[in-house]
Amino acid sequence: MDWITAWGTVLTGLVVVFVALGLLILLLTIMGKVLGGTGKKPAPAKAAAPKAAPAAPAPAKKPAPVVTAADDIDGEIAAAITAALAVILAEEGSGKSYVVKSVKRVRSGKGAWGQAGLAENVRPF
Amino acid sequence: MFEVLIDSVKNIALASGFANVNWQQLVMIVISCALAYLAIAKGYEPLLLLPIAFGMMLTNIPNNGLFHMEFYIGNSIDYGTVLHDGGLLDILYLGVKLGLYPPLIFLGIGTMTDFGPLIANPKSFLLGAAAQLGIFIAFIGALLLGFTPEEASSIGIIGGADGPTAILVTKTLAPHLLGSIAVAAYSYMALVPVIQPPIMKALTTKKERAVRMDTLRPVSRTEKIVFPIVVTLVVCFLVPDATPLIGMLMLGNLMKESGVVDRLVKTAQNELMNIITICLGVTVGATARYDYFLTAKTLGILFMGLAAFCIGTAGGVLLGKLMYVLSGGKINPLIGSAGVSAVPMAARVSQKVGSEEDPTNFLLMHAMGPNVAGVIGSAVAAGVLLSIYG
Repeated sequence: MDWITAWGTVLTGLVVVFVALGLLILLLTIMGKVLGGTGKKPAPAKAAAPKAAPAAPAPAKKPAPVVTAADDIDGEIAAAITAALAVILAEEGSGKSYVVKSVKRVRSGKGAWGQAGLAENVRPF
Repeated sequence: MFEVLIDSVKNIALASGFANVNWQQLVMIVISCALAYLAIAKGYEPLLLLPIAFGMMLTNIPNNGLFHMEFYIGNSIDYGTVLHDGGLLDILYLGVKLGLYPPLIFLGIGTMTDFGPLIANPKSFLLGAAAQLGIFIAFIGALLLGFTPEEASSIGIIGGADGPTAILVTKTLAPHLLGSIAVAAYSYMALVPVIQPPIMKALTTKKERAVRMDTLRPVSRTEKIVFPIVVTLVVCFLVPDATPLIGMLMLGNLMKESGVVDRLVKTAQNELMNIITICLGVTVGATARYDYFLTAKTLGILFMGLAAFCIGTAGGVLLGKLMYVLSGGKINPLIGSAGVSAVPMAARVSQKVGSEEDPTNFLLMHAMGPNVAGVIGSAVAAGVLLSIYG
């Protein structure tokens, strides 16, 4: 076995891998500065979100309930939540009428959908 | 007439597998059933392990003429013989031997990969490079075990944790080991959640594992479109032997990010990928014939393949620790282990081990950067080995 060639292969391999990927770091950093704007972190969603609608329509065939949404929940979300409730309650078949009076965010931080996505991604373990 | 019947039955019996099977073939059939069990019951890389297991079973049934390993061993292949006398798997194996399937698999992978986390944090490339350490240390280890440099290169590339790359290198440098190396590579990839966590925990402190990383910046569509072009130009100019893999990977990604060829993207990531996966899996499995698989070399391959995975993981985590120190504690070293490739399993492992310290810590996207960088890194390493020994 030619050990000089063998260790030469190891050295060449590691150097070429680091040089190739190092070059990509350099080029991508430049690309990020040129094409990616300032590279700032995303602004908080709250700032971009439109003001919450004071009320959302109730699901069809229900007496129009008034929904008071929290500031960071817009009308569309409130309507979607109300519609989901209507479907579930209709499936349960309780037959009782109901009114959605308000929609409040119960906790801050990572949302339930984010947590669900994370759980989905690490589920095999 | 009765004699004809007796003779016919006798001939059929003598030509049957029951009359010609040897104990090694039976052992291989048991191994193939065990692999099929792991794929079906345990869900270990089923998309490839299942066809591999079945190909292994088919090739070890005597006298079926499906596959002739001897056609492909040696310096030159007589394609006339393959087409004239070859069986079904001989013909399908041409796609492996000619190096068609692995790049086409990479095309599909490219259409399914989001390089956004890597573009947002290009330093991830360093972790993807460090995790290739396992390839080269295992290469030396294999030489010490008595393998030839070509065989050692193929064994080392198992540490790249990338099936198509391992297959492409092995079919060129050591085709007689293809079955053992493919089985080792896919088995260890499936076992990443078992292999990596103890190494990650041993090399990091509780404080390091609990580091919360800053949110990644948003990446523009233009950046995502330019990225595959830049990577192709840089890597393929530097290491031309890596072009089949990197070129196809980046073509697939450009098709996805451009958003103008949705039909092609759908075909590449579904029908084409599935067809190639079936052909690749069953033919690679077919190379695991008893006289090539049941040898002491297979044990050496399994041992060094595991070593390559472990060392690659350690290399990534150790560089992650260095980056943790240099960044003033802003980088969680656990994302380094994802540099071994095995997308997205290794990134999931980083998330899982990190969440054991802090359940609300979100490392998955940060780990995807080194993870996809590892795919590029292992393709570059494969290119280097092919250019030296190919």
